[in-house]
Amino acid sequence: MKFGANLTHHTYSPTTTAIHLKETENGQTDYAFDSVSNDAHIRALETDLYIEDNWDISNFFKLNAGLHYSTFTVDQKTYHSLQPRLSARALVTENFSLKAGYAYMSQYIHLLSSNAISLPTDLWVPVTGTVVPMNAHQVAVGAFYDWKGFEFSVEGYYKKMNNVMEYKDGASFFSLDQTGWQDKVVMGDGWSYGVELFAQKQVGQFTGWVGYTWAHADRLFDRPGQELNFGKVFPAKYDRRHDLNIVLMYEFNKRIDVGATWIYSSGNCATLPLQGYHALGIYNYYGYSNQSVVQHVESRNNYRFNSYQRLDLVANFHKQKKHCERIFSINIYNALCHNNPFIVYPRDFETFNPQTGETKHFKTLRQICIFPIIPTLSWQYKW
Amino acid sequence: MRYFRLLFVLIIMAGLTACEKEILFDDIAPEPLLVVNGIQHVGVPARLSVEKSSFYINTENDFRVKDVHVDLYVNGVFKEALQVRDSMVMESYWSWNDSIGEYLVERPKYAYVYCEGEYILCEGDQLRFEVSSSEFDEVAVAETTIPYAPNVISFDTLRVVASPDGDGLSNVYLSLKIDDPLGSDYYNLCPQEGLSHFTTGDPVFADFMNIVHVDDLFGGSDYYGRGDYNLFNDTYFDGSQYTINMNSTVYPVESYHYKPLEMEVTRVDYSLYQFAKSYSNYDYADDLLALFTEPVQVYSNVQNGVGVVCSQSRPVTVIVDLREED
Repeated sequence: MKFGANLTHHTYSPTTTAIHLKETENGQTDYAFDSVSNDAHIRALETDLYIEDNWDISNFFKLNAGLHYSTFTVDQKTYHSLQPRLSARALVTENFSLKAGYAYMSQYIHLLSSNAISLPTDLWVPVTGTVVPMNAHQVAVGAFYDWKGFEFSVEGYYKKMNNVMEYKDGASFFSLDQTGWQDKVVMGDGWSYGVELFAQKQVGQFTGWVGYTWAHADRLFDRPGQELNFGKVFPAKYDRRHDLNIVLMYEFNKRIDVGATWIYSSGNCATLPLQGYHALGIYNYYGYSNQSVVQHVESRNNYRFNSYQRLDLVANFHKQKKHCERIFSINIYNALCHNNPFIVYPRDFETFNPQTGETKHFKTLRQICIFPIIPTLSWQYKW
Repeated sequence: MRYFRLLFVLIIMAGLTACEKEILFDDIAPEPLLVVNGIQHVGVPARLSVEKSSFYINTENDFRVKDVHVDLYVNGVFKEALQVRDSMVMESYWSWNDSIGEYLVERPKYAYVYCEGEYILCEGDQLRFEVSSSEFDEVAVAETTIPYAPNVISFDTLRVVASPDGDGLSNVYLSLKIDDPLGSDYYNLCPQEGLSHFTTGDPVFADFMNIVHVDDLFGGSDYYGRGDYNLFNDTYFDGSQYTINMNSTVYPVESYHYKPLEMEVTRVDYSLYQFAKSYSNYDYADDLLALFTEPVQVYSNVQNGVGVVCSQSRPVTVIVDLREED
């Protein structure tokens, strides 16, 4: 049996930048640049109690159960959560087992992600008196097989989340209108499911593992007054359909070993208006139409970035010293110099035809990648 | 040492080097959508504009659509096929001529298809438009129901106060009482003659607190706020009577410029309200920080297309003459 307790005091500073404008008596405008915006520090106290135990029901069946109780006090409000955990293993043969698990979880910190096409601007924000904790039910089942130093597994999972958070339409983490982040968010539901395949070799000079995940994650915001995407289901920002990781290590001898890691994942989702149209009757005071083209957003997170790929190479040189072990490593991050998207932004530009005197306007989407390839050197001393 | 220095420079260059490339849209270019827009009013025929959408990077934005056909169904029964004609949107701008001074110039901006019926719309009519074109395989469908006129109980002045600015004007505090039926209802207050710089801090307008250009959306607003649209819903008072407080600037009764205080109260349908709200949010968010702002989805109620077909009731005009209250 295991049990324990934990007490944590948190101080959150959801930092956004605000520009405060103040008009003076003579009509001039003073600008004040405030690095910590309208949101004051948020202080919270979190307590956790847990207990878990294992039961060997028989040689065939093993059970693990636990209970986690937590409280989170913030803004003179206390949230309670009782979170049971249960996992079971059935040893079908000496090498083959089946596992299943269930967990109910509460989370007192939210990941606030922007769905705009440009900068990745994730923000971690705490629950408050008005923003409630997220909770989730998760079930997983899997089969595992060991054979002569090889391990194979296949596992499926399903997770249902309540009180996930997103920015409202038109909201920005740059606060120019004196409203805090709590006024810019809405809450809804989400769910994710997938299958994970895993194979690992743990013995011999040549080791490594291969992991592939097929996953699907959706969001639904249809609570009254908190609708997004007009109350229809849309993909989550991090809905990456495919994720493949291959790690290979070869140990020449006790002094030299090399490794390679290849990572591939589908691109993140973002919201990109792909079409424009004239909106309903926009007229000026004189009755003339001054219609502008409205950018049509078909659905939230309708656009998927290019896939992410990266090959990392490493060579480790070990040397046993008198009192320690020195490890000298040569790493090459993104050895294939693949241009993984970091920022995507729209750009307007124009071309002039001197022969016809015509100026044409173009829109395009441009992608910026950083750190195409980074070689590094490192020294470690272990004693 | 020289080699280490060169290696250091190469590492820094690799780390700080960013690559930029253009993303090709060939694989994600969407099919254009049929765009249907129109506000339906009591006492006039049904009217629609029909266009098509344009892809994001198209340089030649041609919104015209060919061979448009529109069928109107009223209360589930086919009523008529709307007459279709090409129309032109005019663009106006101020120009200067040394002889005549400043004058307004009109020039054609783009063409669209305009559809109009003959059947005179009535309160309570449930309208269904089926719009088709040879350029599109699917028929776009839009529905709306003409709202009944609002039940205005009273329109009173609470007090008149001389303006502290010493400009000879007065501030008048007004109240408007309406009787709201059960169910979701949406309204619009539109100040007309006699009222200027109309404002209201009533909580029913909270939905539109940060909104601009709502008044320009449907026409007629002038510099002083006459013709402004003030949209609100009945969340606070569904199924009961409610008094809205507001204030405005007026000319004193003895002034030559004085006019009786006139206001129009209209009931609008859900689609018009949601469109105005979402478009206003869209317009407000389209600023210098648009790159960091969550995209806004403008409301649409057209199936197999985009746009909004909505309706509003006949306006109820309320008038208060301050001269009669002296």
